[in-house]
Amino acid sequence: MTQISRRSLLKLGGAGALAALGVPSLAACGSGGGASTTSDSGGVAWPTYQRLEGPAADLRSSMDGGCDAFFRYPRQLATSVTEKPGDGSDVTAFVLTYSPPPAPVDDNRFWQAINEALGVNIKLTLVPVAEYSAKLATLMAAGDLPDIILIQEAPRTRDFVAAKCADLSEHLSGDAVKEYPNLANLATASWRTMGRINGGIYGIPLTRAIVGIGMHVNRTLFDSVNAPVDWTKDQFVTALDGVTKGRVYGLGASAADLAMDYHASSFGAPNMWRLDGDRLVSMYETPEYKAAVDFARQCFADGYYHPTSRTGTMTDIMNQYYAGNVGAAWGNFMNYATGIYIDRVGGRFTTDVAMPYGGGHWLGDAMFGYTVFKKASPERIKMLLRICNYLCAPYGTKEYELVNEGVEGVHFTRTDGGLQKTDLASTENKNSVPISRYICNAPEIINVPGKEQETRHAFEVQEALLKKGVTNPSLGYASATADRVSSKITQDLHDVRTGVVTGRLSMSDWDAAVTKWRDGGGAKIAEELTADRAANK
Amino acid sequence: MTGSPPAAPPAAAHAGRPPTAPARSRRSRLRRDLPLLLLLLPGLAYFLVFHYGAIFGYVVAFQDYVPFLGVTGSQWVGLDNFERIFADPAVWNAIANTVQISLLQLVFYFPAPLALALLLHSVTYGAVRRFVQSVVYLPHFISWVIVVALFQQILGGAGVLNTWLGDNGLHTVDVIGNPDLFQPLVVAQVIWKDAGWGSIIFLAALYTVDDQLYEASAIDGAGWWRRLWHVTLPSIRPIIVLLFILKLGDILSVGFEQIFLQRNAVGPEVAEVLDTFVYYSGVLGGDWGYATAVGLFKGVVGAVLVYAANKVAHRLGEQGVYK
Amino acid sequence: MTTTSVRRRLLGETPRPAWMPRPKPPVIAAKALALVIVTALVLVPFLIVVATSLAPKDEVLAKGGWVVWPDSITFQAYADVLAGGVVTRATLISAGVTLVGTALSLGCTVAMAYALARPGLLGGRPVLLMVLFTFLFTPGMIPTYLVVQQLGLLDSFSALILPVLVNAFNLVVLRGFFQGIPADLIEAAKIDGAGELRVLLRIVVPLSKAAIAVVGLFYAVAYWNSFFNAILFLNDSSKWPIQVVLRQYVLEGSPLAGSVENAEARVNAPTSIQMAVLVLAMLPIVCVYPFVQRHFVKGVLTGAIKS
Repeated sequence: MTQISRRSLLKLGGAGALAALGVPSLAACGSGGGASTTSDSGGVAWPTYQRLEGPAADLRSSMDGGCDAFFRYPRQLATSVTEKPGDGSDVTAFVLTYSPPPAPVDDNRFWQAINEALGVNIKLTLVPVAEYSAKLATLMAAGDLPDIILIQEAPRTRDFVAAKCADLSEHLSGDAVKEYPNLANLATASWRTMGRINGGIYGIPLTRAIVGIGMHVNRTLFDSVNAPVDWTKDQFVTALDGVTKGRVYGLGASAADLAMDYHASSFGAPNMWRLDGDRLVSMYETPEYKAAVDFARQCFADGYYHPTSRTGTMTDIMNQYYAGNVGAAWGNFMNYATGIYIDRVGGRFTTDVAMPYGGGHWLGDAMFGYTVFKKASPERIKMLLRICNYLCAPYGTKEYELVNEGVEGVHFTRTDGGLQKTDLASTENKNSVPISRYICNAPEIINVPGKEQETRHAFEVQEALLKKGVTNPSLGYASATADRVSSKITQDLHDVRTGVVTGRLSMSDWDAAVTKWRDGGGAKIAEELTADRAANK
Repeated sequence: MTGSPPAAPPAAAHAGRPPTAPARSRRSRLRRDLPLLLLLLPGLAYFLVFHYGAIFGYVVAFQDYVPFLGVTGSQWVGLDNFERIFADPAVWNAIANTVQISLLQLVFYFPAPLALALLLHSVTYGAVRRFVQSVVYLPHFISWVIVVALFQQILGGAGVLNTWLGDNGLHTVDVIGNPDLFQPLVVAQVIWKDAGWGSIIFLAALYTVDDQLYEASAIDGAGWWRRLWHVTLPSIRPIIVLLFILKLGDILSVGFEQIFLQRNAVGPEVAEVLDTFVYYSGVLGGDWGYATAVGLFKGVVGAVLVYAANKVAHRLGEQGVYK
Repeated sequence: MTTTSVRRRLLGETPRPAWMPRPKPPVIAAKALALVIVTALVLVPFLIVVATSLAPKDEVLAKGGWVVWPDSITFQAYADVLAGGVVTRATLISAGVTLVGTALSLGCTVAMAYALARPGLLGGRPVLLMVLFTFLFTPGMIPTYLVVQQLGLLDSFSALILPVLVNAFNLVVLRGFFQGIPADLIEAAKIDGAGELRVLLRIVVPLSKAAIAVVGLFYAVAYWNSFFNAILFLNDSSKWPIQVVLRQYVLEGSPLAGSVENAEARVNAPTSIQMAVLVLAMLPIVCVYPFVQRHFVKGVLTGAIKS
């Protein structure tokens, strides 16, 4: 499961006639991407990873894609870019936004400061995330492409990228990336998830923490029943049983997933696909996954799931979690590690992230999407790469501060405790002007503002989870069948899974559904992914 | 505004349309109708440009359309998309659910705004009537996300109703998440959300009913029921029939977001409708041709129904949608 | 002053038409009960919405998202949404588009509906069928986008009005109302020498106040609520109308842009913000509707000509 929210899918229905519906941004999980042709054999080498020396993290992660931790905002900032990257021209960018619109660039000092520092005029076309795929489709149909486009993995976009976008292999593959030190600082896992198209590197990934999704727990509640932090399956059940009473339920999840990923990973099921020698086997066909479904079904039958889990969305469950009615809720790990959930629950209880009760922890995709450039002359491409290099300067550099926090005195003031945001920063910031988020972004870091203890703990939890990490071996590989049928067969399977867990259907229905999934395209997808992987080592 | 036109000469007043004139030539009809045609022009231009200008899009139903290749560059697949729709047995379940919900809506939801309008129309206390009118349409503006959340808050497993029942030792009810109640629940939600808004049109219609007809029937000693049945309803029958036929044309659309939000709770056997089916089978996969083919299918079915219903309306002496 | 007239004045009771018999008490009671139930069904959820929007963030979080009666009242949620002038600018845009759009749409629709309502119009039936056809077969998103692009309307406010200028449903309904106007009224006026336009403006429109008000309301609400076309046809986000902006406060975990590190964090705004957004989105309609209601009266020429 990727971190991309399912809610973006929900909003597409409002468009009226079905022919007007857009293509949403998320293909079904399970395939890293979908080209209609398998990638050529022998892809180019991945960019050589080279950690940028400079920003002094308090705690350094040991794993590729793991986040460093900072207790406080660094007092000394490093410099990673010496020359202005741009050439004074206009650069158009097509990205999505989760935020209200910014003031136009003429009235926007944050935007102006970024343009000034980069040496270009960035013209943003911002698209609300729910309509992003629809508008991207019209962009592709109309043919008038901007310089920079954000791509989220969706069926058949790889063909578009291969046909219309610039091949960046010569600039980024292997040691060539060292020309752009901040790009070299991006985790290899992110490049891998982006994958190669026709053997080449066509974009720059927007990196995310590889730790992925975690089970957030109300530690206060579980401590009250003496549940151990490193629990086994039986201890987990005992804990759920202990806390479920009255209005409080042990487990909460949205109706779409029922926290199955947590159960599956704890039972030792593979992360979407298992590598059997050189063959990819789907997790749905493994006995571990089936056992996990059965276990979830049992938990539901025993009443450990909050009733909202049957019908509700992520928001509904999190509302219950904040209120203390749900003991454990499945959600993005970084929401904890950046202090959002801690802030939401206030002092009412201690929120933490739990270990799986056995088995492993499924790692995330390490990528939100990737940025591609329209075909252009090598000089222009180099300039755009230099811009991206500036934008992904890591936390603790001057460049990071400028494009993420703004101008000192205008958007923040420097204090001992860190940066104090001004009022202007509530409307002019990197969310409303997402240049440093969706054109290229710095690697995520762990920092619970003002709380060293919690930061340290979050880091430790991350490292513990990463030690148990299980990767998805299909990331970055393509399957044509997956493009065409994956969303349907996966949804059918998930529908049955939901039915089984909530008690409407039985385990024999699950077996039948897996067979149907396999025959409906699952087997073919496995073949194609295996072939693509073999061709692309 | 204007007062009543001067009393017309009796002969003309009786005449209605002038007595059948000799067959007019096209040209004289054109000359006669020119002002009307000019009035028609802006709207007509709009439809020609923005609807018929874009109708070429439907050829995509016969293609494996890929946006960046365009219509000219995408591969033609003939009837493949249509075959794919009906090859999947699950589509029949989806269509069945869609029709079922549509019929439930026609029977229960369609009369609700009318009943509400009649109730409001009969209230003589103007302030009361205006107040209720001003609030009853409000739910129309709440998005489905919130409507569904509200229903779950009240009727859900941990909702207000069940909490109250549980606290008082009574048996809890399983409304949300009960597959058998799903389709009635969907209709109930639509009634709550849109009955008020839908009553506006009927209220407007009720205000066009000629008072003299009521006076005449009152003189005949008619009570409220006879007034309703013999004066009110027949007077607004054209509008009712019109709206009914138009609703029939939409029979395969029962709303996407509302169903999508609640599908997980009850499973696809009762909750999959045509729009959600197409969403998973085609839209998510970037299959424009497939999705367009379904749109075409829906349009054809709607057209057939509108045609048939219109004919039936004519039999009953109504204008229907068109003559 | 008699008690009757006092009561009349207090309750805004219009004098009962002469033909309506005095309603009996049980009937009054039944109607009152029905009205109370209907109003309660609608208002109670609304009270929850408004109450939640006025509750402090912590209380909303502690109570699981919904507040029936807030412990304390704060307008912070509204302040948060209205900060920075973003909402204000978008409101002005929406107001402009709605006013201009409704005027244009209503004009074109009334004209076309009237023309199509006249029997025997040369080409009337084909045009009507053509309109009905578009009702059943709406054009797709990409073709419409290409048409708008070809016309050079992209990124302009005209793109918010022209592609939706006339709604087939409104047209057909209005035509239905116009057909209900007695033909002899129109013929009488024509014989007196009135042209079609005059007939339309002096006779048909005044008689159809309620119907035109309703269609006008439908258009106004459609323009005010529209968001998808704005996203599709506008590239400059400073031109976004109000609904697009307000959705961004509610969807996909965008708490106030500056308040949380990561807007994509999948952490939704506290329900108080979501409810404040809902209230703000509806406020203009709620204010305008009473004025529209005033036109829900009979047309002026009723009964004047009937012989």
